[in-house]
Amino acid sequence: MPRISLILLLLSLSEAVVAGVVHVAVAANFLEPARELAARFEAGGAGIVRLSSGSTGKLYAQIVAGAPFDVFLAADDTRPLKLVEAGKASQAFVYALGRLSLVSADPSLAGRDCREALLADPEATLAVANPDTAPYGRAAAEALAAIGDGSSRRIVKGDSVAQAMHFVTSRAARFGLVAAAQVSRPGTAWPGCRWDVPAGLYAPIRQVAVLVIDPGSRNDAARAFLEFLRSAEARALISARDYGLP
Amino acid sequence: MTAASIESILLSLRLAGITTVILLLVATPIAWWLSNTRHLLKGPVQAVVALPIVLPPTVLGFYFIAFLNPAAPLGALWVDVTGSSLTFSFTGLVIASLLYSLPFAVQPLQSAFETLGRQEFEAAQTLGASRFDAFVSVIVPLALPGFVSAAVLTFAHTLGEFGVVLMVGGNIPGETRTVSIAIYDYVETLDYAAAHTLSLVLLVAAFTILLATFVYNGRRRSAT
Repeated sequence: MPRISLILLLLSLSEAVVAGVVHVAVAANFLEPARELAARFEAGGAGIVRLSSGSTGKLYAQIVAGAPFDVFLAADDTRPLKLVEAGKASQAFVYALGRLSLVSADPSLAGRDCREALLADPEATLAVANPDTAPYGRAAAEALAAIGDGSSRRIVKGDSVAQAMHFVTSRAARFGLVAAAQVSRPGTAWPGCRWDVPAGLYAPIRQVAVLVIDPGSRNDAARAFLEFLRSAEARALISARDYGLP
Repeated sequence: MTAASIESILLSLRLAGITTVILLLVATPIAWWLSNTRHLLKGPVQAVVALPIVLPPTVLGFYFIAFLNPAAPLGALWVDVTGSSLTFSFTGLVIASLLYSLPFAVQPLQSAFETLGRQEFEAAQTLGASRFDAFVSVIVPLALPGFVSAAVLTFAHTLGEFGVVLMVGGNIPGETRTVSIAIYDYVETLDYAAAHTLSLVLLVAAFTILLATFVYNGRRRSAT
C-alpha cells in the first residue's frame, strides 16, 4: 500500500509543519522584502511563514476584528502601538524606516528630473496610496503639499501602495508617489524617472513590527521570526532594499 | 449622513442609471437576435454575453487597465479623440459597467422574447407593419415584464458593483468613489457608523427594488 503510506507521511508532515506556521500581516510596501526574509527564515528551519499583504489600515482593522495573524509588519507606528495599548499586541520595535519616491514609468521621462516633470504637467494623473489607510499615502499627501504642487491635478488612490504602484507601472497613471523599495527591485531597471523625496518633506515612516497576542497559542515560531527580523542578516537585507534602519 | 456619503450614493445612482439606459438599448437587439436565430454564432455570442457572470471582476478590471490605459493603443486612441483618459474616470466606469452588467440585461430579455414566440411579430408584419414598427408596438408591450426585469437587474447589479470599480476607479470622490467603495473605505478606517448607514441604505434600496419588481411581475402574470 505505497499510496496510503505516502498519504500518511504527508499528513504527519503537514501536522509537524502546522506547529511552526507564522501568519504574518505585512504592509504592502514591504511584501517583497518580507518574501525574501521569509525564505531565509524558513531555510533556517524554525518555521513556515504565511504572508498576507494589504494596506496597514486594512490589516489593522482585520486584526482588531480578530484576524488570526501572529505578526504584524506595519508601515507606521501608530496602528501597532494602538494594538499594544489595547492589549492585543506586544514587543513593538521599528524594523525599517520607509522612504518615499516620486516615479513615472514613462520611458520618455528617463533621466529627467521627475519632480520638475510632475510640476510642469498639471494635467497628469498622480497615483498615491489611500492616505486614510496607507501610511505611504499620508506621506505622499504631505510631500505633495511640501513641493508646492497646488494644481488641481487628478489624484487617484490605490487600495494600498501596491495598487498605486500597479497604476504607475501599467501607465494608467503617469506619476506615482510610492515606496522607494518598490522601485528599486533587484535585477530590474526602472524605465522612467525617479525622484527620492527628501526625508524632511514628510513625517518619518517608522515601520513597526509587533507580536499579535493570541491567547490560544504559544507563538514560538512567531517569536523566532521577530527575533530573526532583528538579526544582522535581516537588517542587511532590509537596508539593501532601500529602507533606512533605526 | 455626511456629504461624502451622499455624494457616493448619487454617483452610484448616476452610474447605474446611465448603464441601465444604454444597456437596454444595446441588449434589446442582441437578445432579439439570440432568441430568433439558429446561426452558428449563437452559441459563442451567448457564451461571451454570459462571461461576466462567471469571470471574477478582477479579470475585467485587469484587462481594462491593461488595454485602456493612456499608454496602450486603444486607450491612447480614446485620449486622442476625447481629450480625456478612460482610466480613473466616470466614463471608464460606465464602459466597465456596460460589460459587467451585460448578461443581466440580455438574459431576461432573451427569455421574454423566446416565451413570446414569433407569431404576433409575424402577424403584425402581415398586416403591413414594418419590422421596427412591429417590434415597438407589438413585441415591446408584450415583453414588458422582461424589460422591467432586465432594467431592474442591470440597475441593481451596477449599484452593487465593487470589484471592477476597486480595480479601475482610483477612489476619486464624485467621479469613481461609488457607494460600495465608500463602504469599503469606512470599514477599513473603522468608521463603522458610516459603514452601517450606507450599508443599510443599500440593503433597503435593493430589497425595495426587487420586491417592487416581483410584485409587479406577479400581478401582470395573474392578470393575463
